[in-house]
Amino acid sequence: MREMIPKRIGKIDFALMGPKEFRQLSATKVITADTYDDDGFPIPMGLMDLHMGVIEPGLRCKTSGRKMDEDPGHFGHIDLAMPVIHSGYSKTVKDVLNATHPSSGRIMLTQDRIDHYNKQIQALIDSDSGTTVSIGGISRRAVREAVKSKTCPHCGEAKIKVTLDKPTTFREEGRKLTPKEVRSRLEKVPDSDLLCLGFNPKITRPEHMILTVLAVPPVPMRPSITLESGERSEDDLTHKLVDVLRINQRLRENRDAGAPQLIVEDLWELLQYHITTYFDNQTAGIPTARHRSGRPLKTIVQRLKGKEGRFRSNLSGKRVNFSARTVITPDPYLSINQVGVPELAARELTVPVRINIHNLAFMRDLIKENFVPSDPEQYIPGINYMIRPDGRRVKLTEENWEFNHDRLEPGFIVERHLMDGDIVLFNRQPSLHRMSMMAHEVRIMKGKTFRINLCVCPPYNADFDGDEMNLHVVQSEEARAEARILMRVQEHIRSPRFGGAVIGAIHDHITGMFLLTHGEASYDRDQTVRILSRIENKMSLPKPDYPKAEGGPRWSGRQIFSVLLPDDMNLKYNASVYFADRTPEENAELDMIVEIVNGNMIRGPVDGNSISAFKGRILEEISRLKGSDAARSFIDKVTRLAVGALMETGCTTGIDDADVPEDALKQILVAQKNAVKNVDKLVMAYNKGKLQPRPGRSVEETLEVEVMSLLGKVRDKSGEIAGWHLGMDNFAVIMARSGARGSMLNLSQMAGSIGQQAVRGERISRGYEKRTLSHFNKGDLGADAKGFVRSSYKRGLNPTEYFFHSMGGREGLVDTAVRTSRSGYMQRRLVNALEDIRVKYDSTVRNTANTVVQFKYGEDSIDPTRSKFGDAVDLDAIVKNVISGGK
Amino acid sequence: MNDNVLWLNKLVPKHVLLEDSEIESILEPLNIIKEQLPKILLKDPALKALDQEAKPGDVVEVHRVSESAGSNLAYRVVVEE
Repeated sequence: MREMIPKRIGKIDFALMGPKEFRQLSATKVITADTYDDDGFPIPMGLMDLHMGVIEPGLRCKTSGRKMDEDPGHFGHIDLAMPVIHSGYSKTVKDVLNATHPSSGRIMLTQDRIDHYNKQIQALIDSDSGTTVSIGGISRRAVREAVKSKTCPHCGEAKIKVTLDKPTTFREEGRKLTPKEVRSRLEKVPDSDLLCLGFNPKITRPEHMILTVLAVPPVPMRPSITLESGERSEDDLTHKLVDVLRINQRLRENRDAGAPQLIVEDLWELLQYHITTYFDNQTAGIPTARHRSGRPLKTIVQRLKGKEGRFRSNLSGKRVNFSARTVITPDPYLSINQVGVPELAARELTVPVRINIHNLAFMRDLIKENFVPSDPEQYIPGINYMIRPDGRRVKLTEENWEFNHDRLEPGFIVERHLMDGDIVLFNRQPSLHRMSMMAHEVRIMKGKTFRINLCVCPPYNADFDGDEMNLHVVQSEEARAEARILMRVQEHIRSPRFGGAVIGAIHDHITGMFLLTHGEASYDRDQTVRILSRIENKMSLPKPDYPKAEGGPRWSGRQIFSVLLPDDMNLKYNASVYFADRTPEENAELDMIVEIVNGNMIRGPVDGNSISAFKGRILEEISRLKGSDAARSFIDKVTRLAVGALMETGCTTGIDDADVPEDALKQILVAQKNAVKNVDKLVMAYNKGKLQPRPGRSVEETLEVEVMSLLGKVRDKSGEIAGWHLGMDNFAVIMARSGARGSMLNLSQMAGSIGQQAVRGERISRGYEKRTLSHFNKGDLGADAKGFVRSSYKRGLNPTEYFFHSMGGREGLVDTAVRTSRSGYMQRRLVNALEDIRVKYDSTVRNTANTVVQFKYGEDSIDPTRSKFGDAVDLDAIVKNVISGGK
Repeated sequence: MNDNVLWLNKLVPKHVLLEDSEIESILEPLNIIKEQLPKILLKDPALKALDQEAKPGDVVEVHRVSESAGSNLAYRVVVEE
């Protein structure tokens, strides 16, 4: 590699290249459409001329003398027989044509106005302030004003309007203007008038928008590939250039031979077509150029544009080294900070380590370990490559490792395999927020999947139905430090979105903790030790709550849980299982209120309202007041404790959890029958015209609203009935009420009735003429005919119900599909608009031009992750603390 | 503030034209030049409703109601376009 010379770019000018520049740049003129001769050697002055670079090993570039892969290539050029319009500039050409007069070439403004605009633009150029006000804006105004004038103030002649037939045909009152005419008009515009048209006459001229010379891109930009059969296959760009050359040749011959005007014009237009599609093969208004197979050719614009284009695919979305991707599986014994990495991946992923006197012996051991493993069963990192102080990379092999082992000394860099404790970035797509990419500590494991703790599933939005995730090994000391301090999972427990925890106990952890702590649950010495040993091996047991119990002392579940609580914690709140429809006294009686005094749980169960993300009060308190280390350790320990508790009690659910007794079923059916009867009454009243419309609604709307509310009520009612008969001895109910998974509505739909189906928020009304299905009478407005499902999931649906249910279900599916794609694009636009905005050290928000966007971050300069749901200070807690005298 | 009806709307924050010395005391601590402030168009109705006539290069202080901080001050430089 050549040493690159760093240079500071002071200024960039964008300008049009003229024929002179193209020729200057060109390494060779291209005249023949052929590529290779019979021996497979590039033809001189052909499209693969060796002056334009080499793509075959062994040959040397005739311009720079470099070999393949060292030479980026050089441009060539084609001299066009006739000028051709560059389709990308046709709009600008039209503007210039219309703003100037063909005979004088002057812009159709009085000298005063020209000077006025020139001065404005010159001032903008001179000020060099880098403001966002563009020269384009001023020149556009100048053009608009010039186009409006009917006669030229300089020559006094009238002006005929030029129209543009997209993409490249100009007409003057219906008569076609040839590119040659257009060019000669543009040439006439004097330099003094160019500035207010937006051209800098020192570097560019409007006639450069009409091509007389076409640049031929270097060969390495359009390499030909040799197929297995030995056949050569050319790049799409080369194909297109062949077309251009052929037509160009024919056009020249015909013109020189004095062929009829018509033939020359046809060929001229064909050349225009080929050059237009050479730039952009999706130009509106002209057919796409195709390969012999019928595949559209991928020309220059297609290479750059869109998701698969150079920018989004190769520049913004580069593939990277030191990364791995595989399926994820859960492991509750990992900390939330950790990630389990399979040995196979760990042996490929490396960390560069600079050798010093302290790690020299260790690294030597690792080199040896690579080739003579001391214990094949145990994972010990090895070393793939070493980098000598002179910068040479040496791959360690069976042959050279002993030599390299001995010569290793401070100053060398070795690429060490991943080992326990390394910090890596872990990511799941779509990366919608900052929690989609967090730093984890490595744990090397057997198997072939990445392992993660279940609590980090919600921020990644991951599950284990085949999800894959990416892992990146950070390569520099600085990056490792940043990752550890800023990106570690524990630093993301609290969300910047609303100032609460997003990582917390989920699913089984909540069920487990509930089973451990609810009611009078207690455990004997063996059980207590088993459960607690999941957290730590060495700890003394607390004093048992029931020392005199039959069969030895017993410990309450609350007591076991209290081990995790900080001593200064005092809280009182309603549990998730709290009955909203009963009085606080009744709830207290039922042990639905949690109270913690000085880090001891006095009463109430631990459930979703204590430890889950978003809602968990204890988690909220610990993560906000005790810091991320404490929060991480709390979540880890809750996970382990929950697993321990579940091992003692067990938890299972099945279809029989939706069983309701015979008389409950009867009650549900009766309630339903009554509701349907009431609906019928309403419909009857409506049919007789006796229904009183509600204020602001028509009679029809009134009927719909009343029916919907009636049927909604009966669904709630049947759920309620089912709920009475499904008690807290039912695991499905425990999961729903404790906030672990599912809801009472889910349960009542399984046990009681599914209820009204809706499409677009209304009862189902489409299908046949005046009815939904042919099973009903025309005009039937009753419950069954409009999508009310009486059955439950468990009893099963009848055919009409099933159909209605599918209609409602499809709407849900379509909605999610539409929502994700639309919000994805919205997100993309937002990110592109905001990506360079950041909070500076003085807490102002600024962009890269250092202009202020907000004078104080969030107007209050409060970091929401350290706030309590947006409030910097938890006043209630402070007041309470002061009143109680700090107890 | 005058009795222009514009100010009666609760969504229109109070605008105050700043003196040159005041501008300096705003820009100093931020270490920026006037052009790096957020902009406000000369034709903005709020500027027209002021007592004094604003001209390009002037700076207005905007007294906004803030959901997070209660009240908030913003500064905008007047531009022609």
